Amino acid sequence: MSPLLEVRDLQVHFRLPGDGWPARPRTLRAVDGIGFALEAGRTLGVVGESGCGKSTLARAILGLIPATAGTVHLRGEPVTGMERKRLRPLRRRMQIVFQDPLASLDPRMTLGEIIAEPLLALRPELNRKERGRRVRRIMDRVGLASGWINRYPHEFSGGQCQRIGIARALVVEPDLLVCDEPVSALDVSIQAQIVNLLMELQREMDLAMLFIAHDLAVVRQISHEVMVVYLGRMAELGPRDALYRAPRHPYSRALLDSVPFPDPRIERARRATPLQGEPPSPLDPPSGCAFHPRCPLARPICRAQRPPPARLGEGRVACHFPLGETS
Amino acid sequence: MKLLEVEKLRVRFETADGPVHAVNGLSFSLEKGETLGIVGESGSGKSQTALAIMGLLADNARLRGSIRFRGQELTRLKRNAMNRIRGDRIAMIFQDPQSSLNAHLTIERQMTEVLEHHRGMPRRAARKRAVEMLEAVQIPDAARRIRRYPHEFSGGMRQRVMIAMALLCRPDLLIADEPTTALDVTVQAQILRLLRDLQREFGMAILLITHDLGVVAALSDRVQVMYAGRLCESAPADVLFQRPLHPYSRGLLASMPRLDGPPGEPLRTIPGTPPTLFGQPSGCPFAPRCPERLPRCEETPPAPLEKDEGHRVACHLLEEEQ
Amino acid sequence: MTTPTEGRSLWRDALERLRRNRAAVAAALLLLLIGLLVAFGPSLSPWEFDQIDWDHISAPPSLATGHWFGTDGVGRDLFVRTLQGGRISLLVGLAATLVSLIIGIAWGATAGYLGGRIDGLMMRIVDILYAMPFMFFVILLMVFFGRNILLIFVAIGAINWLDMARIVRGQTLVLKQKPFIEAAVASGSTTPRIVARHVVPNLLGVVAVYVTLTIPQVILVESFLSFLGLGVQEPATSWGALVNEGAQEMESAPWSLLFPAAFLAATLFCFNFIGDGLRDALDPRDRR
Repeated sequence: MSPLLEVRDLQVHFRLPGDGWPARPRTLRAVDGIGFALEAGRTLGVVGESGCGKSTLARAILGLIPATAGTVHLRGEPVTGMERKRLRPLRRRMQIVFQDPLASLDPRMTLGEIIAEPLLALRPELNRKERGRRVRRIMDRVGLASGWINRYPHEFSGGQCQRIGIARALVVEPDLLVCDEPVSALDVSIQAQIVNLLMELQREMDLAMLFIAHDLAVVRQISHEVMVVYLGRMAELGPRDALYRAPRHPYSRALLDSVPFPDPRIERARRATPLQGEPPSPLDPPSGCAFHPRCPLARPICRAQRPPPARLGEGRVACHFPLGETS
Repeated sequence: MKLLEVEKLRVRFETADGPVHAVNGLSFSLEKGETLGIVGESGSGKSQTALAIMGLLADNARLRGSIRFRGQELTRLKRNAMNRIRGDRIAMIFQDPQSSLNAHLTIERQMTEVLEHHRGMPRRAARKRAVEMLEAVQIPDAARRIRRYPHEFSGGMRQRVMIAMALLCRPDLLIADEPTTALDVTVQAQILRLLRDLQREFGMAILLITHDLGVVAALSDRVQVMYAGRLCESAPADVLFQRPLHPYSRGLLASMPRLDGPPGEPLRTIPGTPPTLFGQPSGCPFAPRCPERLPRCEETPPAPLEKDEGHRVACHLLEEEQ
Repeated sequence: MTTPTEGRSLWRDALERLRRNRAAVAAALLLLLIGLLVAFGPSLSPWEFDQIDWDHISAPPSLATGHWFGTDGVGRDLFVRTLQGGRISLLVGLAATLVSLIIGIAWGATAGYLGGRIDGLMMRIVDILYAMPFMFFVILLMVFFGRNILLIFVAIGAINWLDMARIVRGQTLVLKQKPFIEAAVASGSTTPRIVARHVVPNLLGVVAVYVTLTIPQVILVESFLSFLGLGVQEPATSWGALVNEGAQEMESAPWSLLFPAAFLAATLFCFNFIGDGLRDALDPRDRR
């Protein structure tokens, strides 16, 4: 039984205009070899800092950006290497929720029109009455009052706009929902509402979810498995509890240690020095293991050779000296 | 004498669509060398409070109330007098270093300008002090890097530069408005550690404004929670996180996903949406969303009461217990 | 069951803001007045626009003679001729703008959205056309096809679309980056649908402002052509032609220059004020 979503060694590189004279073209390796599988009803959380390529990953999986190498298969059907037209019927099965709730809605369209658009494009056989029914049903399901159907996006708050975005994504009843930082732009009290909503909807609709975020606590709340990404490469992937309790990759460890805890006593007791340096630019990746310049445990091999993802326990780690292993 | 005393601060903006009440009768104080964290979501008025203290409110703002800094009333100061204080005695750092650093000037120029203007320092001495300050914020190779332009620095570095610039004149008060919100979490950890170290070294008071309860816990001695321009609760940091009294503070803390909480469970939420700030609501602004509201809550706004030592709460529920 | 409520669209917001702009409202009212005069004014007067009053040649304005604006050098009533000329000028202005609007939007939005080589090609064509001498072509067209009104406004429109195309393309490039366009792609909408349903409606704000500034431009071009003697054919007239004639009679019969010039200037001012007002009204697009 093949998994619902299968990503193999995905690479997305952008060729940028050259620098200097004579112009040497530069390659931005936004996604540099990522692979995983996802089943229905499960959530894979993807965490990483800026430049790690998680947004590019999301778009490549949906076929919104062409992949440079590697494959993406949804229910066995290829997504990579397909031209737009051929991809269209597959879009019914995969949808996306964006980071900026208001900007992802056309300001000149009403709520009803926005939510109905995927139906018009992907289920043209439905008549107007049926479309209206489905729109109203999904609006009710995500907590939007039916009286709002003729209102415009700018009349709503951030949280409500995000509900509209979720309604639009789910009105076609997809199998896969990709969420690209869906709650980062929302207030904390609203974040909780949206996170709960997504969890409920996943259970009801047996959705496979790819949840991309930089907030480790939010990711932990909603995910079954978690993947840590650094500079377009997978650092670690594993079941949520195992990863958060005992991360194997030094970067995962550093990430978890950096998160400030809402408890002053714990914060005061923290002695560990924060990770030095900053995430490098994907234009100029370090040699070997991308994390080696900042890694407190780096050894010569880390600079020379890029560590391949290796199975470790219930997950996978790309590290020459994973934590918890005696060398 | 307290370093900063704010009394019954009201900030109202006159807009084409009517008045917007950003801050509604806020009173608090700050001691020398203390770090006060002001927490709130969007529309809480926390940023406007900071701008009011700095005298940087927009033109259509109307300010009432009193802001006393080292005994001096800031609201009545003329522009020149405020300019002398701003940057020298009170400094501010912002969320986005990009927009507060001049892209067309070198870091050196921007920093020496501050010292020349406020301290009348000659260029050479100013440059030396600037380099020292860059070293204090741990910018490697400061003597050379100072000649660079802002865009040649990374995000975290730019934030450090901004902090260095703010501390050049050794201000008594540093206002930090969401200083780490735009930074990666590993860089945020560095900056928080840096601020803690700098405070120990220079002894300035910090007014930390943020929506992130983790950041507040990492840095504050006291915490103040705001909602719709009003104070909800103010307490020492330990007390607020252990024994929050106001329903909003409790709701906020409960709705945050925590690394030590139960995963996969629904979070406890605060229903409803944050209020618009048009028109003054009668009663407590949190009442529409409060799970424990009383009829009185919708009629009169609660006044802050001192419950315990240093613990103020503005809530009718707690008055009942008196 | 709650009754559906009407939303407050961004256009309505902009209209509200526009209404508060007094200069723009005054300009709009004045323009309306000129429009009404131009449409219905000639029927108020006893004179026809090509009717010659032999008794009053180059006569000053007077209520008694019924020549409220006076007469021109040939004895035709200036009131009717000014308003009649207004019909032509405004018609040319609006029609030519409409032509340039349709071509410009279609060209610019397509080039901007498709991008890449197609965009490059389409915009190079615009650049080349831009470099060509406009006057030369108009004169050529006039020579070949005669001084036809239809021709005039097609000619002017066909030249003006270049600016419109550039502006539209620029705006399209900006819009393309917006998340809601990406969302439309993810929703499965086809490219033509995205351009028509998402790109163009969000352009209209900028286009509207530009249109109010193009119309006076076009009227001026027509006036210039008439001034050169290339505009409408006698006895039909336009404000430009009237100004031309009036300029020649300036010393002896200043009214024959004054009235058409005043109408022309007033109309241009009005469009410009409305355009400025529109720009301000549409600018704060986010109500946050």
